[in-house]
Amino acid sequence: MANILAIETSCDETAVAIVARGREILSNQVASQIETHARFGGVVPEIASRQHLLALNPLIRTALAEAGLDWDGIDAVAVTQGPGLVGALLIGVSAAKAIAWALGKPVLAVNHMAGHIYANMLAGPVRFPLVCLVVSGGHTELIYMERDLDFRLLGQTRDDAAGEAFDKVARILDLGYPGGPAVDRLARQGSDVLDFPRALLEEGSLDFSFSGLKTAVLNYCHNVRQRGQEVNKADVAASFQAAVVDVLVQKTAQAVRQLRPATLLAAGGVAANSRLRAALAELARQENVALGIPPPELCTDNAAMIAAAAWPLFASNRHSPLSFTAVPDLDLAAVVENC
Amino acid sequence: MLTLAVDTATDVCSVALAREGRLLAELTARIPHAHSERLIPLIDNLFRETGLAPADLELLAVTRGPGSFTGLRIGMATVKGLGLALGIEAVGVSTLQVLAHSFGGEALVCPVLNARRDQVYTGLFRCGGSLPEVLWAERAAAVEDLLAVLEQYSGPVWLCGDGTGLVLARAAETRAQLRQAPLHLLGGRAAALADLARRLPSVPVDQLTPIYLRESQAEIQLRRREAGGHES
Ligand SMILES: [Zn+2]
Repeated sequence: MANILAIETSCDETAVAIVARGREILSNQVASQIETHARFGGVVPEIASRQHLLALNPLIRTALAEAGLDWDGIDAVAVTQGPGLVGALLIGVSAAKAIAWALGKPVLAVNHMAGHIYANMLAGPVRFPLVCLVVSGGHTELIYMERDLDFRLLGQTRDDAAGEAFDKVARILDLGYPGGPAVDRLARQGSDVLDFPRALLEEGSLDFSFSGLKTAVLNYCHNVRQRGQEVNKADVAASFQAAVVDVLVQKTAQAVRQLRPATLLAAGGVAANSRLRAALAELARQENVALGIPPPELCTDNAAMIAAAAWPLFASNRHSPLSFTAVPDLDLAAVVENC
Repeated sequence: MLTLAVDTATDVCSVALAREGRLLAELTARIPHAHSERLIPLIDNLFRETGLAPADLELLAVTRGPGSFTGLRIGMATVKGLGLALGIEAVGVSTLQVLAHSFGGEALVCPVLNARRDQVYTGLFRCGGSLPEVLWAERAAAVEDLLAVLEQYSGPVWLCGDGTGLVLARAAETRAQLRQAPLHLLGGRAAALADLARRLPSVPVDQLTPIYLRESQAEIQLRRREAGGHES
């Protein structure tokens, strides 16, 4: 059957999944630590590591039970190697290596961002070549792929990641942590009337920049409050979100027109954003390209996506050595080299 | 009971295979910041050298702290993973007890680990029996407070652990009779851990929890902020 048990502990979600042949999800368990970290206003690495250690074993037992499998039914163990918080990653890496060694099964080290992209493969076959917009709390990238695990970077953010900008604006508006879903929800009650800047950078560049937008939001709110007036939070959220989505979609459109891929994909936590999903659907229709966006629950961190990205490694016998370790700034290109 | 003992709580990464009080193999590496890379390969070597298989294992033992937070968790996540895959239980043992037991002999032993922020993780044990007897319970303490306790004991106190130098550097004025353990006994040994594990109760691996002896920095700061009542 080729069932892969996958473990993901790169940030503040402990996640375990069992996926057959890189596609069929038999179990997908996520234990969120959001409430624990909310007290601190953001993810605290030391506390994330402590939580992962306590949460992981019970989650693996639950996944096995839900999949109706015992250890004989597991053919390989996959784990997120990076990028992420090093202490958090080490919990998953240590556990995965131990389980794989004890069972005499291969261990597969997976890049977290490759996982986000491969979340799309869980929905069905995807045709290459493809362009993928990867947008999360730590990443904003346009990736081109001609075949499995062959990642070419077309452009990336020069300052803040899109998700980071969402979190910061949520903080300016006092919407709490995590910011992305809160901004998305509030934006539906407002309208794009504030004309925040869209940084498109120099002609032809596929890079992104969001720090100017964040500053514009901060200055606007500051000025309104200085005048003793109330900030219309819904309009700020809607206008900010419209500016981010405009930039993301314009750059993606540029990449699609340049490279004419068979498929356009979106991936990462921000790909759960409703306005971005709608705008990408419109772009795909205009450009007549197949579109893939994972369902929202597979856009945020999960382990099924790690199993999906591990599948081509498993199928081509590219196992990782037992001496591999967590790499907090792991490059997407390293996926091919570490095997 | 074929027992695998794993200690990664300090700079020393030590693993041992033992059965009924007989040490079958032990490997100790003192390579700082490489526990994650070395641990499973070292364990794999133990089994290659002894011709045993992972499935032969009946019990696990691990140092549960205090120590380096990251090092502790590498050992504990590994042992939890092994126990989960093999369906066996584990014994969690204090890092300080393992250090004291590694020293052995009829002596007062004070293991000290550098806890940074001007503190050490420490305790005082009387060795010589089957288990080290606790004279002063383990804690994170200022070196001055530790020295004040040690002064109450007549006769030599043997210091071991990576904080030994730190204590000796502050001990010029003390009336305590401090002795430094020989170099090969300054670090813990998995053989001593395996030996202690025979005499202590085991638990299902899911119930293993590290003893950090200290809150995380973020928790300390949050508590201060809440007590102070002011926002930063
Ligand atoms: Zn992610």
